[in-house]
Amino acid sequence: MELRIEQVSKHFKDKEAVNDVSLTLSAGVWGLLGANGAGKTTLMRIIADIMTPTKGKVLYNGTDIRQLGETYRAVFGFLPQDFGYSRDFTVKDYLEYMAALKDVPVDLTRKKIYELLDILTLSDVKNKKIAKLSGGMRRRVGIAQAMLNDPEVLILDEPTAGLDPGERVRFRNFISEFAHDRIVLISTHIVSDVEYIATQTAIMKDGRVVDVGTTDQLVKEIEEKVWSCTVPARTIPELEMRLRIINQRGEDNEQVSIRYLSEKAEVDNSKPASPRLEDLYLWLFPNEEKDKEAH
Amino acid sequence: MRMLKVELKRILKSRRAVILMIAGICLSALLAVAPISFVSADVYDSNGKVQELNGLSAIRYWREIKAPSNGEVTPEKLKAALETYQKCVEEYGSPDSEDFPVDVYIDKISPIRDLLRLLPTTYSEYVNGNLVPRDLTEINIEEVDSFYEACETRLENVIKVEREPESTSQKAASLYNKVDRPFELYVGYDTNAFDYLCFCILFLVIIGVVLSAPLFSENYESGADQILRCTKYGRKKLAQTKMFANMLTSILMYIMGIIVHLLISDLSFGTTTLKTSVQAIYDTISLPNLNLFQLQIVLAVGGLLTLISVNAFTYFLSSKFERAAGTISVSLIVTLAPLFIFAAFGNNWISSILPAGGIGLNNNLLMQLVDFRFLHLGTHSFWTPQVTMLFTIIWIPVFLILAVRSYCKHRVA
Repeated sequence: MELRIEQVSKHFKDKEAVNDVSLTLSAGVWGLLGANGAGKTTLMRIIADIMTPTKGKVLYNGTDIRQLGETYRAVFGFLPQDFGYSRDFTVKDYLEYMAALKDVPVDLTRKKIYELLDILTLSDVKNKKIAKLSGGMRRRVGIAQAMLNDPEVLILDEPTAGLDPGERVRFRNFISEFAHDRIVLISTHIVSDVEYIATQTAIMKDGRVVDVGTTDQLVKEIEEKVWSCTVPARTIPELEMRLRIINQRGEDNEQVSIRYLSEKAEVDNSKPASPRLEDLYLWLFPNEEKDKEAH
Repeated sequence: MRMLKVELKRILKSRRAVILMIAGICLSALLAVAPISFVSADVYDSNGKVQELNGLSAIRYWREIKAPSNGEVTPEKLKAALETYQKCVEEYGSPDSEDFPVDVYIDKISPIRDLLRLLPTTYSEYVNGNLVPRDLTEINIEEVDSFYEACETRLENVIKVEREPESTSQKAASLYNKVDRPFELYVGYDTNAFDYLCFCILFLVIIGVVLSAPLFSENYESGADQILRCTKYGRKKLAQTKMFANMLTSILMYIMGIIVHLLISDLSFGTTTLKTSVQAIYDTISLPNLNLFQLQIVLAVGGLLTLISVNAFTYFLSSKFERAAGTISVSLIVTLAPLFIFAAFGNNWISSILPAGGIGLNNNLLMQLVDFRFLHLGTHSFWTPQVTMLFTIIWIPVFLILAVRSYCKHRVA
């Protein structure tokens, strides 16, 4: 089982959203990390065959997905970033509708729907209109529809947006179990969504895949670039001006423990810290760090 | 079948669709009631007091009064009517004058008024390039022996006045030769009811547009389309199923609306009156060989074909437009375009070949049928209602195929 993205580019009038991306996805959970506007959604739409690339193609088990058409879509599941639905649908009606479109056998449909409703803790709201559900619940309905046909290729664009921490953990565990012998590609800018469950992670920046590997392989790239130290609280404003502080925690005696990113130690007593995927992400996307601070 | 079932279930659970369907049926009923309420009669009792009758009671009153006119419109019957009229005029003066005795009018003129109405235009005179209707007092009773020949002469004169080419003359004559004679007349049906049937068809088609416009656009707008078209049957089959289910819903609303409308109308005016020839109620030279019941069927079927054609066009627009509001606006403009184009330019090809060519006001299929309307292409003449219906039918597969192709080719912007 293999999904090969071959030199895919997508140009819009004023922007190169995806630029010569090549990637071969095998079974397992794949993370697609990137800041907003990095080109993740465009790439996912191309993989979903709802957007035509300007250049390149996507092959599933060696055949162009556009040639495969219905055959590809039969083994495909997709949750786009914005989950749209008909406003009059109840959760159950919607899933029955999607099951028919996905050609889930009639005798299996009910069982499959109830199973997914149970797993995604939606059983209590199955007869409610989707429009009346909370954002997190709606997102889970979106995840349920994507998985109705037990897809071999599951593409989830920002699947955890709107989920609370507990729901995120449940989602991650569910996806981990589901991904055996399947390709699951999760696009996100929330590093923790993929850090622990992704077999491989690809990082996109400005339309290009700038790095691919396991979490361990990726974080190696910023070894000796993550530092931690304890500094007096009053020095923080000045340090923030010249350092890329990624974390700070108040300690006793007006001291603050900080983690920062730098090619070399910039503060006395700095010790190399063990890098995490999030550190790499912030190393690659300094603007996200600012966004995080702004929030 | 399974997809059709879930799609129909989706539509029928949609509050918007249900409201529109109910509105369509209620409006049809209201439009049937309106012309009934317009009928009125002043009845004089034995004391000479006037009592105004309205609606059903007025219809019943007129049906009774005018019953002697019912049956075949034979020259003998027309002669007798004209003779009665001319005698009354000799004795009491013009029936239009205020001095004319009311009881005489009710006893003598009212029963034959619908027969008399056929004569002035049929015996119109060709004067300086115009056809001038003759006064009933000027028509020689013996002339009426050749009433049906006079109808044919009038047809020829109309062609002359309209400066129609020879091809029109041949086509019109061939159509008119097929009209059954003598005409049948069963009084009581009001032509307003036919106008309102046409309004009803127009409104049902407009509701059909509103019902159909969001078909694809709504999903583009909400983002639902991104999910739907990634499914196994999310392209051609989904497009076909959605269009078929929507079409079924629109057709169901239309048929129910028309049935309700015609039931109210026909039961009120009386089913016997439907045997009346079109020529006996509209124009003696109207070309279709139809009675009023057949005319209703033709208008209803023509309306249904127009609904299907306009819906097909709307599906095509819906597959192109990202916003349902845009689809509704453009579709309504095109639906109403024949009405405005006809108002501006009269009988013309453009208003006839558009998908909604058969609906409107003065341009609707009823007017095309009962009025004398031909279109020309080189030396050839075409009867307008035939052109309109032909194009209405042609657009159906064209726009359905284009809609499916356009939906399948649609890509996320």
